[in-house]
Amino acid sequence: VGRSADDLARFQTDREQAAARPEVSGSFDRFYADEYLPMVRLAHLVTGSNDAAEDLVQEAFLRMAPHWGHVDRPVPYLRRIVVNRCLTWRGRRSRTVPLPDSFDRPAPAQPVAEMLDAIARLPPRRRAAIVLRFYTDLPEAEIAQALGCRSGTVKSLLSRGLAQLRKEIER
Amino acid sequence: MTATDERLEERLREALRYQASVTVAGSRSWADVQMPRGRSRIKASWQLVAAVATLAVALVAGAAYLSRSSPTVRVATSSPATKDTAAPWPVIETLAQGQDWTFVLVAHSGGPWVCMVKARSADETCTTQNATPDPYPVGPLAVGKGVRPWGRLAKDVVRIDVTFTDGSHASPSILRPRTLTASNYYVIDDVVKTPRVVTAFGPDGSTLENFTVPNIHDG
Repeated sequence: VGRSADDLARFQTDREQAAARPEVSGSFDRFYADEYLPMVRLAHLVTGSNDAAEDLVQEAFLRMAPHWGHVDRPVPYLRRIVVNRCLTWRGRRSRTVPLPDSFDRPAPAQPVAEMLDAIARLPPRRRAAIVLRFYTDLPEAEIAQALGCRSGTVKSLLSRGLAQLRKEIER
Repeated sequence: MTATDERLEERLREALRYQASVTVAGSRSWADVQMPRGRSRIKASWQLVAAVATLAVALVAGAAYLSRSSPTVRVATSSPATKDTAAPWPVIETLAQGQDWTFVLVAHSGGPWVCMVKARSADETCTTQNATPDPYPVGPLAVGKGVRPWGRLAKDVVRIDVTFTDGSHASPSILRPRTLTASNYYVIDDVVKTPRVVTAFGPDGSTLENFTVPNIHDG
């Protein structure tokens, strides 16, 4: 309980400090409104689960909130938390039993569906690198930052990811 | 880059754009996430002190409750989607003496209703039967500790009403959205009553779901 109260107090203090710091443009509320959906989309693409994406992004914002005001580049900071959580999410899936999803989504065209299946079969880090490069259009340096690795590793992940996709599609 | 590579990349981008376009994310603000609906965020230090004091009182009250014994209660839950099958959650579970209860009512993306009962033991560890086994503690003490949701409400459900076995109703003040979680799900912290009928209402006041909780046995 003490930790929750401390977190709340620290969060409040951080928010006040953030409001007072001129280099922080906009409030956390605005940041949340702007970045929530893009981050859920990113997490959905990396995990393949819409539900998990919402949860993981929510947790990422909660993780970031106490540090608001001390982060110079909030979007890359948040993105790294989201990607990290997506990559560790696999180990937590066994704790939940998915409920049926009755949400009606338009069926994708067959080539799109095939590609999505192929993407889903990529190892998580390759998939994350592919998503960050070809959906988010990030340069390799920022992908490296999001994944917490070197640019050379990103090149390797992208190269191997594309090769695997090509192989899967041509099969 | 070869033409084949370009085609692959274009197809890849198209697939990713499609997947992103069907992503569903509940529209909400940070304020909605931080505090229960209808309340403003804590903005002044005295309010923070009051919140901490309330938390402390809740802790003492919870500890006092957990320290007393309660009768063994047999609870049954079910869902329209799974009542004819054994999995994924059992129909009847016996809760041990001295356990606290939290009723968790969940609907998923407009889909089946689930009425779940979570038992809160003295060590704040959940022993439960529900769709998502969860070791996290429940109740107000869990707020801010990364509580995992057990499911999510249909997007268009704006209010839930619960009729208990004694004929009383849960008021909106009892049914409250849990905060600091990703999903809008409602928790009733009620240690003496058993839900009988769960009704969900849409924005226009119409009844979206009316679910009778079957096979309740109090003993």
